[in-house]
Amino acid sequence: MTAKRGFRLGLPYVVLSFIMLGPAVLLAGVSAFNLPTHGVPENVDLSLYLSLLAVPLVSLTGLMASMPVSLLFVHDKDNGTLEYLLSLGMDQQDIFRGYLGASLLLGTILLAVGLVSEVTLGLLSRDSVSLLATQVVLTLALGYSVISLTSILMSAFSSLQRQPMGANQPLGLAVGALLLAGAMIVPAVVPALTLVLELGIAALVGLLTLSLLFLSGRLIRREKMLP
Amino acid sequence: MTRVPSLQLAEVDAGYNDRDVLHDFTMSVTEPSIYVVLGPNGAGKTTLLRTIAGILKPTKGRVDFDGLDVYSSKDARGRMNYLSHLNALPEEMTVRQALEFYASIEGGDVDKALSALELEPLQTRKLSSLSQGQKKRVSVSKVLLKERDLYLLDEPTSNLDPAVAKEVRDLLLRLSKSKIVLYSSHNLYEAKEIGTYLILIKEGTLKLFDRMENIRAKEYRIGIRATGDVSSLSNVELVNGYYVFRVSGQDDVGAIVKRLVETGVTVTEVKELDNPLEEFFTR
Repeated sequence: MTAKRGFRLGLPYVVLSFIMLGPAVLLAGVSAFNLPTHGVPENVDLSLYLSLLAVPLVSLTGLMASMPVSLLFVHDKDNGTLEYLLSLGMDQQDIFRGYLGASLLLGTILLAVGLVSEVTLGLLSRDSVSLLATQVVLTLALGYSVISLTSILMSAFSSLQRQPMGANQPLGLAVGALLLAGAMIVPAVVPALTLVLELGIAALVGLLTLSLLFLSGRLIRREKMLP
Repeated sequence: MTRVPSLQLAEVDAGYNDRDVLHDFTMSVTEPSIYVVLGPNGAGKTTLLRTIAGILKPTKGRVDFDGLDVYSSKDARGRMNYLSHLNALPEEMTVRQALEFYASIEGGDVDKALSALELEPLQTRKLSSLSQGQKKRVSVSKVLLKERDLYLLDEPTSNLDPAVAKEVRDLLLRLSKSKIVLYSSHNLYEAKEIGTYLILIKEGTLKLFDRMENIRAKEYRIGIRATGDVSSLSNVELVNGYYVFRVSGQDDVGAIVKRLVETGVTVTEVKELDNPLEEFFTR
């Protein structure tokens, strides 16, 4: 229900995510084309780099699609819905988990469409199975971990901000985008270690997210969720 | 036999961001009735209701509902419902969708809640398109989704037109036959009309907790419309068509009317010009 509400509230975000998904997915099938080699360092496999660059870009579209849920959180805090949920017996963790689930659900739509498109294009381009598998694993790991962390951070920052409509919330988005920017650099600098390093980033982000979720009751006091 | 719910607050301090708003608040509610919470702005009415609802954690003391600590017991909170002075409604939804949304969380009967305040004609309307009064009706109907033992209502009749406000008051009166209803209001006349008990708060402390019938002003005025010669009665003045008498209590009213009738005066209307609660409010 929360995902549906977020979808309705932030439809332009979802539409924009789909528009961004197009170029991101095209990169996955880029090896089908003869890429120019002029100006490219000899040790850089441009085709491989661009294929792996698709991973953070598709994840970014998933993150973008999940944004309306964070907007909904602010909306619900301001109109007293969070207060009502607290009165029904929910605690901070229950509430954060609800919005996190909705963020992941909306992100999944983009990640799923992105993955199916990536794999289809990869197969048409005759990419290696190992490259396709790497793309799938990294997209799922990075996508879900970054969406989760960003959702929790944005909810936490929104709870802590004193003035409604303040500017704390985009901080969470900045953290998520920063992590994905790191994932864009890794394939260019250490292509051989891309899988390990990006899975490591995803694991750390996932761990941080779970820690924040379980500690939310202590970190965010109840009155911070009141209008 | 019907079980009587009980609510106990023992030396409760509570507030926001390390600043207590309620101080040493102790009270005991053991009878199903309407308890009107009165107090000036900033007195702590909303904080009191939020603390009882388990939304705010007391920094000192304890709030028990039927022996269960409301802050830590989800079971206790499941037996009460809280209506914020804000509407707490998802405005992008229709009336029915919003009630279904809450019913999906807390359970309850959407159709029953819709019919309680005759909201059926509005059920397909988006909340964002409703007037403030209509939204308030939806908000009140939300707390009626599921039957509870304790209702905490923060200004439930604000923004309502007189007819709907009366509808809500009648509803609360029916509920209070078997449930505890704590009800904050700024409307002294409404408070006097439906409250069985008065809980008066000032600066976060409990100033008075008594039955409404025991609340008497030192002196209050009644206005009587009458035809005939009332000059036989002393201490009377004519204001806006009413003969105004200063009396010490309601018991004196009957005696005055009786004397007027005995002197051949026809009494057509008797009304209170002051509310005894005003004195408590401003004292």
